[in-house]
Amino acid sequence: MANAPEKKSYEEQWREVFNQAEMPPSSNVWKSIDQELTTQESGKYRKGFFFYRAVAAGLLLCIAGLSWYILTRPADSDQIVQGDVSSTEQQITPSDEANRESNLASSSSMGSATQTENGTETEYPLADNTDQSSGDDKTTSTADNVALGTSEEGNLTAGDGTESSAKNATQLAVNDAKEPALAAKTLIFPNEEVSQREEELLSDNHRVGRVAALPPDALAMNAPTWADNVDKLFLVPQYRKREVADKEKSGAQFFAGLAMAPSLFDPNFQSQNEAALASADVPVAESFSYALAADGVSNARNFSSNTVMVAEGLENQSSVSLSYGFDVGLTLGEHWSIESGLDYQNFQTVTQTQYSVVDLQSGERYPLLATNAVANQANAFNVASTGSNSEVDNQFQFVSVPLRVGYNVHFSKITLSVSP
Amino acid sequence: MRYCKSQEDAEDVLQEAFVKVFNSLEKFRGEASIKYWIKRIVINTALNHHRKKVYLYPHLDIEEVHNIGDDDVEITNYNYRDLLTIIQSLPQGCQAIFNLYAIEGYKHKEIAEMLEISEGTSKSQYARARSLIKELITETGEVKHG
Repeated sequence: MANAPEKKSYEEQWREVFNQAEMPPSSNVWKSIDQELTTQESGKYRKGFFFYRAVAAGLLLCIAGLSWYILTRPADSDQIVQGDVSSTEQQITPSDEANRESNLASSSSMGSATQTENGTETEYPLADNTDQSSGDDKTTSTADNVALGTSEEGNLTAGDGTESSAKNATQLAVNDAKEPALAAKTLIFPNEEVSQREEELLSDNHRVGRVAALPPDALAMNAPTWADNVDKLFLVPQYRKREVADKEKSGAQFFAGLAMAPSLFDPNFQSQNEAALASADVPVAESFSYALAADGVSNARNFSSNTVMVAEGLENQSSVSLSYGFDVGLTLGEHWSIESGLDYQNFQTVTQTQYSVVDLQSGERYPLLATNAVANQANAFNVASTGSNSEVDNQFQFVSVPLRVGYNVHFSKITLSVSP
Repeated sequence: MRYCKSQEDAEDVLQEAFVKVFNSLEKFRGEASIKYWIKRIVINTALNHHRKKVYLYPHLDIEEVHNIGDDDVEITNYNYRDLLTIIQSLPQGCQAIFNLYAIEGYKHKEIAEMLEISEGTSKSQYARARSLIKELITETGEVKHG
């Protein structure tokens, strides 16, 4: 008597029932999957595109900011500023005797003048603070000229009908130069055309060119705090200290510019020649091959079917390519600079090939190049010789954000910059 | 389908799983068969899909299911579609654990790790599933033979 078949376990029964069970999904599922994958792929490209756009936007902002900074930066000049200055004399700060005693380092009273103006007797202090400058001979000379009422320019002008007052003030200064100093304090005030920065209004940071006076409004700036205690305000062309300009010149400076550079692009796609191949005697695995079948299908060499031979090289002709870019930089000392920007490179080559690869599914035929060998799944079975050269233009486009360190050599008018 | 309550639900899971498969093909190292790899992705996707919605695996004391007998009904002769209907009628937690243990062949320890539950919970849920299935088959009594 045969043994009864062993009873299957509970779980085995269930597995057996569902082992061959199949329930095909609706066709819409595959469409949905395809759509979602496509959406995700495009999303990846979009993400990359957004990244580059963000970088480009950031660079543009930086460039705009730098441009604004450079354009609005006060013009530095180590030249002597001698503009025509409308000058007016006006008493701006009434002060008591106590205040008058608080003398300024940059100011001193040498005398006063009296003039009848509009029926009122006005006291005009004299500008005589010629030694407040840095001691430059020219400054002293100019100041002396002022004291003598014969400025170098001799074109003292005034607006609003105050020219006569200014001239009188100067003339009176001449007249009274010999007289003892009176109580009025005199301040030589710098010309707003030269500087609006308080730190540059220090007494040792300007030189007297002419003595003039003007209302505070005309200065269009706030008088420095030390000016509160003066009686008279005179406008004086100011010579900026040369050291200031020199200091700024030696500091970090931004620069920006457009760049265009030619280059000869040779990607060296050529495969090994036959001699090298014979010595190497190594087949290239199909999936990693960037090489060509030597003689097409008919003369395929004796390697296994899933390998592709490396054979005669492609004739690759490099051509001149151009790079464009907008670069900004920051000088670091006299010679070194750091540069960045947004560059676009368009490299081009012309490649000639005698082989074509056939897409076995679509039947399309492509010139076989190293660059498309993998993409077209080139192997010994779908590569054939065309018998004639096909010429293919290759373009390689890059957008890059370079970071370079440059070494600059300054000649008289030319700067030679070397950067990797 | 065994992990879902409806055709639409199952198709959602299938779509999500296959998108994961295509996106993860580069990560497939060939250590296991691709069939097993895809199956594992589909199962995990199904479990996660339902885990998002509700708390699926309430703890059931082991003592509560001790009395469930082993005299389950024979199911080998039933049509899988009818059995599928019965599985789909199980509570979500029971359904997943029953599928994983009885049909996929996972151990309770593996199920516990997959579902982040205790091994005891897995066992108790499985026992509960068996009990419910037995009740459903007995109550209806009209499951057609395949």
